[in-house]
Amino acid sequence: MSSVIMNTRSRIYVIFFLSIGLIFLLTAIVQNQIDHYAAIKTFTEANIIDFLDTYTTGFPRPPPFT
Amino acid sequence: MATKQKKNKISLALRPISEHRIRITRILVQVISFGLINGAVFGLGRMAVILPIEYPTGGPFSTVWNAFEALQYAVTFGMFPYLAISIFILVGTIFGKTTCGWICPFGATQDMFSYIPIKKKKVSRPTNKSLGKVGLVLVVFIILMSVIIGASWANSDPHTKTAWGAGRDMPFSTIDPVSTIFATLYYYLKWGIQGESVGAEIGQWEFLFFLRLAILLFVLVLITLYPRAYCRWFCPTGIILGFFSKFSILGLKINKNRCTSGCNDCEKACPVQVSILSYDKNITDKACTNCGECIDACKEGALKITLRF
Repeated sequence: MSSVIMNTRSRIYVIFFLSIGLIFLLTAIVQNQIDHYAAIKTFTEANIIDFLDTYTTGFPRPPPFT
Repeated sequence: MATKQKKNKISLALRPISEHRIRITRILVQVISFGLINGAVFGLGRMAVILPIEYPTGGPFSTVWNAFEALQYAVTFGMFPYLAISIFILVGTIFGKTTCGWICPFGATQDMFSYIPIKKKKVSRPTNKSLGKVGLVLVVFIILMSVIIGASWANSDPHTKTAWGAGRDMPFSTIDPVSTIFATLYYYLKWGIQGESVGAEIGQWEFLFFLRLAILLFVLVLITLYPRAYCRWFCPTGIILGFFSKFSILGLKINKNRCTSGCNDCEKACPVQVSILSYDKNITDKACTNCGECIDACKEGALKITLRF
């Protein structure tokens, strides 16, 4: 792999997007947004049955999912 | 003399491998990624890790979050999706759409369908560009819908989203062909084998299920005829990544000094119909997935994957 010099305009865009991405990532960490997604760690919790409804609506399902 | 003949024989035998070295490497990476993304089948735990790929988070063996589903899942709960957006921005700016070409399970599925020996079709350049806008409209519509659901959830007392039906958490996943093929069909067949779904009274199937199957069928026919059709025209993850891939650090570079024969082999090999030869140095097309088919096709070695910063 060789390195190619990017033009200044593109480089400014890259730095801008990386900065925004990092700020958003830090904000998400501070707000504990990861906890919102951590519920998926197990499929046994009640809220996950609700989550799976997105995929399983439209056909007959066994008792825990009805 | 005998050694030279032997060497020639070996190099002749290895030629198909050396001519397709990037494709072979990519297939290996796709297989390993598919295994890790479905790691629950090997006992890997589900993680709150978000990746910009098309794969249902609620899939039976899925270990990671689909970034576009994560985005909808935050918005429909009245949150600003900082985490999902940061993943899109960071991955898109650093790697471009490389995840689409090398990691995405539905990208790999589309590649598999493209190997079906049927004559592949191409669309004209303006049509290819126009169809790309369908995905953009889809993304805007889904985000707007998620915002409306999120606002209604935040303002309802008690908090409930039941009025929004199956799409209350992730609207797009109710019709997404990727969710249908990797999650819905699995659950349908699994429960059917247990005597609940398959062969049930037709009246028990809802319209949504038929709609999902019809969309899936349409997409499967489309990707068989037009390589990576879903990827370049409809995939919301690809559309969002494409916006940042224009400025991505990792990408393709063409050396016009080496490109002398005018064979056009690179453009013929490109599954997403990028006009490679219209670029002078860096190929910044938002459809390019860095799959490397053009590099394999170029006999003059004019194309390379490079760090462009």
